[in-house]
Amino acid sequence: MPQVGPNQPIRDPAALAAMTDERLMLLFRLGNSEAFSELFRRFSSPVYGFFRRRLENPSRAEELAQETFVAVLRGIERYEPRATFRTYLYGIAMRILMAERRKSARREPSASASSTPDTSADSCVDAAIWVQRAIDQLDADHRDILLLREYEQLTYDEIAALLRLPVNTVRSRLFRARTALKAFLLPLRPEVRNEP
Amino acid sequence: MNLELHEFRPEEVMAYLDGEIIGERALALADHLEQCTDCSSLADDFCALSQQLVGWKVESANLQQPSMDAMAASQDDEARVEALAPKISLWSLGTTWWPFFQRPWVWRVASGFAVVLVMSLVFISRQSLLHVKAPSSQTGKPVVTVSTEVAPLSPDEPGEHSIDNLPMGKSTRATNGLHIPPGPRARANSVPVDGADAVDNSVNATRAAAAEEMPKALAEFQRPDKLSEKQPVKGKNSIDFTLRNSQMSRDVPPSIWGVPIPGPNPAAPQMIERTASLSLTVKGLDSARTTLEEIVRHHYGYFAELNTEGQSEAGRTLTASLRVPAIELDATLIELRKLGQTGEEKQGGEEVSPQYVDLKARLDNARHTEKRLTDLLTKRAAKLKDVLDVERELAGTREEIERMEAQQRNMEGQVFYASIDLKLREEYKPALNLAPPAAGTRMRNALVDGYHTAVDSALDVLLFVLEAGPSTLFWLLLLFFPARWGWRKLRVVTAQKQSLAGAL
Repeated sequence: MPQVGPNQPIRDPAALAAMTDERLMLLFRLGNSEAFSELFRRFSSPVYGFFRRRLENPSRAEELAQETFVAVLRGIERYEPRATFRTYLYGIAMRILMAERRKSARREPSASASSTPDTSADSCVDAAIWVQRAIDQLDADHRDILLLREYEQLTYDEIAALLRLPVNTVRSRLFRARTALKAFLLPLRPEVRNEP
Repeated sequence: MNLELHEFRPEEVMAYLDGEIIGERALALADHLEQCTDCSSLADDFCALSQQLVGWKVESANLQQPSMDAMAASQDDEARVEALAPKISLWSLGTTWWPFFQRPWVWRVASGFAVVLVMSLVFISRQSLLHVKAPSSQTGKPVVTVSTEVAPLSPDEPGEHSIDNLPMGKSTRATNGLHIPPGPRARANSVPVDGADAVDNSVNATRAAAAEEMPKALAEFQRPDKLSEKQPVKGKNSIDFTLRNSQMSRDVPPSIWGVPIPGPNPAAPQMIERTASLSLTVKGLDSARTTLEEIVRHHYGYFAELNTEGQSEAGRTLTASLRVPAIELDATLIELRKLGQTGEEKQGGEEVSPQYVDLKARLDNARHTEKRLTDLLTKRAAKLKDVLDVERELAGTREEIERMEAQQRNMEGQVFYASIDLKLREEYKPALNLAPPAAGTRMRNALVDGYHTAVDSALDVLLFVLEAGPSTLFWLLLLFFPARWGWRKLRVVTAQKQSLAGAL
């Protein structure tokens, strides 16, 4: 790893790419803006995917992703590397998502029902729709754990820290979520349903 | 899938595929997956499921990297983020801190710190507020702590101090809430107050203490030469007495608040013994007495005498003789008049300046004589007879000096302290008994009274007989025979006259 001073601007993309997330955050806390650019480059798409898979409105997901990074900027003075940066970042994203869900529930009580894809158009939907529909049928607790593991690629410990659950609970819930999801996907997918 | 036949549970297989199991357990599970078809099939299902999930892809985002400038522009979002960010930070890091707070030693250390902090605060507050020490454990007498500090009168007199209080009574100014922070050269004087005979409402105690301490205090007072440089006194009741440690002469007059009080200084010729008498009618004697004691304490005085009398048919009276510093007399009288309705008031002043000057002159002469005699004794007296004569003369001179010094101190005290003869008379309020006694009670009382009257009358007769009987009997016995002889003689004469008249 290249040795870089805290206030020294880093222009080499390779040097930035070799640094861990936590070191980049510390550099950014010390005033190195290039470190935050590298973090944004690393996590902008995952954070957007986090919101996009959980919200119907793409533009709203984009706004919330932007808001997540703004929150990181605002809280940089209070950041301490006690946990991984991914846990810290998705913790902020999770809080923003919960606030958004509460606001949406007050605004549109029946919005979740209307977001379900039309099952009559089975022939024209792709695999993503089937997966989304199957995931939507999971319990909320199981769904969150499954999404954090499959798409955000968080470890069991990170999920446990994020959701404030024991690791064994995370593992058992994840197992049940996967088992249920497999059961949901079998009758929904056309190629699976058409099998003898 | 029969779990009893497999070494590893399905959850462990899933965890192994997710990379959560490492080490020997992972190697064992890998070997098991190669041998067990059921577990291998389960692993294939999980892998296929993951492949299916990967198919749900989202479009690429078009996010703009936020900057501090952009944050300043979006004011609406800032408020929300501002409220959200610290919660998120604490929440996300809470799981890290929570085990730390679950440790018992953390709470013990925190409790210890809290106890030490509270005790420190209590100690500091007590130190800042406490000026009066507890009674001395050795003597059992209350000890009054008097704070003194350097008086900024004149910089060329390093020995001068400003005394905040006079050790003349049981009370101190500290009890009145006065607080003067000690200076760099501050010292504390502990003055034991004699409270052994404080039976009659601390009169004797204060009188004895004042008699013991007042001459010393008077002797230590010095009139400031530069009154204009005197620092302003904070508070009405602050008295600054200038103390010169290096000069303990009794020729130095006292000063209060920078105002010279009458003293032996020839430059201050007026020495007036002030007296006052005041008669008041108060509503409640108890409350008035409490207020009176407070007033006396407030003005650095003491009770020379205090008597209370109570009669059933009249209100109680309190007679007191107060001694307060002369400079405090007017203020004391003003406060005393507020105790009740003023009935009679007198004030007087006797100037003793000529006597004092004369006494001082005689004292100076006596001291000069003493000095000359001492010189004679040490230098010129050679013969034994001369030495004895000089010694005799020197002893007489010293006796005279001591007598005059006592007179001087007595005069200074009388001038320094003004006397107030105070008489408080409580308004008489006869008790009104609205309920008359019952008839049975009255009859019983009458019967008891009659019995007592009969017994008393019989007893009176008996006492009269016992008292007058012997003398009566004595006189009867003494006069019986002469009376009988005279009676018989009278009867004989009467009979002769009647017989003579019958014969004629």
